[in-house]
Amino acid sequence: MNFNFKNRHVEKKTDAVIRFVLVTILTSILSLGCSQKSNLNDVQGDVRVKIPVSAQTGNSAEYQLAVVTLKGLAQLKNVSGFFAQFFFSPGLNQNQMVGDSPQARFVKTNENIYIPIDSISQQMATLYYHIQSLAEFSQSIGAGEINQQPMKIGIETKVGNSEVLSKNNAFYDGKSDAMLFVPFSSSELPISVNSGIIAHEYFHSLFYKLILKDLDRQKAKSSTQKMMPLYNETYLRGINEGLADFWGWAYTNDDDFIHWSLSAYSKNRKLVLSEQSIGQFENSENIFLKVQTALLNSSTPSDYLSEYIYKIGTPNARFLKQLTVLMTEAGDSPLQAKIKVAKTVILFLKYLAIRAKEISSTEVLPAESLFEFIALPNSNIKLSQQQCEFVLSYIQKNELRSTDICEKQTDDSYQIKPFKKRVVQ
Amino acid sequence: MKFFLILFFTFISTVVFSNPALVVAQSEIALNLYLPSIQLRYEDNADQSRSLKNGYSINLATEIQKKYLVGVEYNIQSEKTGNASLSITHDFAELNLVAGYIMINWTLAENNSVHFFGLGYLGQNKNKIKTELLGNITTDVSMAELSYGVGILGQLKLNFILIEVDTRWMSSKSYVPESISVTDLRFGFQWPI
Repeated sequence: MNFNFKNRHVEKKTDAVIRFVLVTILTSILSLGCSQKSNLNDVQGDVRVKIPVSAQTGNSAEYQLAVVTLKGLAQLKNVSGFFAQFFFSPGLNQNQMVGDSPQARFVKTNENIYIPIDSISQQMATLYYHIQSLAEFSQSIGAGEINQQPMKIGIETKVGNSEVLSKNNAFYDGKSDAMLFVPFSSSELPISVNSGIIAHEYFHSLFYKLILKDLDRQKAKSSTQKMMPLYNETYLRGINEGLADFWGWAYTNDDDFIHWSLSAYSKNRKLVLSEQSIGQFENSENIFLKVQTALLNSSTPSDYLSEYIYKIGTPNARFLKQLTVLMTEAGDSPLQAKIKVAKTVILFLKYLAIRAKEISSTEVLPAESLFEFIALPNSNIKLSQQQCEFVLSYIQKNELRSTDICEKQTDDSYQIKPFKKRVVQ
Repeated sequence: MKFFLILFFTFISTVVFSNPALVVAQSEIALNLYLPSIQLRYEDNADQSRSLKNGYSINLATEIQKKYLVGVEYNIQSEKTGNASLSITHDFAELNLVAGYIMINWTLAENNSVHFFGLGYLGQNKNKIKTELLGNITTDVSMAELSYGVGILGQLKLNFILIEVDTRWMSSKSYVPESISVTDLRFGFQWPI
């Protein structure tokens, strides 16, 4: 009897304690659940993340994971902030990009570094970082006001049915002022983490705002079914692609940044200038012939010329890269040289914008415009003798300037001048 | 706050379960052994959708006095995104303590019954991120995060065979979203001690 009483007493006591523990656990869990906030919603400001970036190793570039700081983030959850704003699979409505903001997923390490846990989150963090760095680079060359922040970026963008546009591509859309990345299905490095290609697209935004935006308004007046307007359009498309490739190199120091993601295009666009290629470029006569062929053979001549424009652009890109290298060899630091040439490129765009607006429908933009601009005294570059001779090799392709020479100036710099025969009395 | 809660639970649990006089008094303790089971978690995916994602769970539990259930579970899940040049493998691992109390007990026949338990979960989870970039692999491990939740367990017991479905609402800072529904389907055996 006594024993049973003890057992019942212990049983009641056990019951009470276990119930108490369970109720406490459940209540605590519920209260914690109500007060809990996600990590990522609260994370803002300057945030350290680990992403793949291009790094210089000796004479070549390599991709490696590195910890970088994303500045001015409003929320890590959608990687939005001062520099970039993302849209997932966006559409266009009255030239405005519309779509949901993609939700990024990161985990935090004990060192307070956020690691993306899926490809889309990694792409968003990488793109944000490069847009931030490119905006800072623009600032350093006095072109910081050209682009509005934040840059709108579409990822996994669906673009029509065109095989070329809808896969493994990226482009800048001037009308919506957005950088668009389409789905990447190749086994190479995704375009959205390729630093050089991101810089290339970023340059297109500068080119659009300085040159094409105003021309787009005038476009209705001229027809690209006519020789001269199509020539000028083709030249501008070519120079846009070429200078964008130079921007990609200037940002990464990688003369073959294309090959990481689009190896098929590497051979034709690699920014290496051989001895034999110095002074070689697609001249106006060749462009005319190609434009004529396009008008004869295609109902959409602009599309017909889409591959050809790189033949115009790449020699310009190689020229600028080689000029930068020569400036480095003459004593400038690589960054100083890049900043000088990049500043000159921006001046050239402003000059080209004026020229493009001024010309009538029967005039053309000369194919050697860039080389001639570099040779001008107001191009912002003081040429050494070696650099001057390098530029001269391009200028002399123009028959009217085939006798030009490099002349020493009072400040020891060199300028390209017409050759004057000495008059012997 | 969390640290004190964990300390508190640990202290109470230790007091209750380390005193044989309290627990073994009824001598009705059964060990539930389970086969590795499939766990479905309603979470965000890499492609921006939200759907049920498959994971796996290993469970062990004891039933005390046919009223209380105390156990442990180890949950794992893996997801790989990217391509041959750049890929991310995300491995999630979670260890939870489980405590429950029987709410409904239906006897179907001798040794066959249906039970419903109310359950509480408390544990920790970690994420391992393996990033493969052009053949080079880098592994990062996240800091451990607290996980907790409440749920219901439906248990069909046919002699020693157990068929269980457990559905719950779990929360953790490392979940995306931070509160998710989790469902387990498992088979096991009950072994009276």
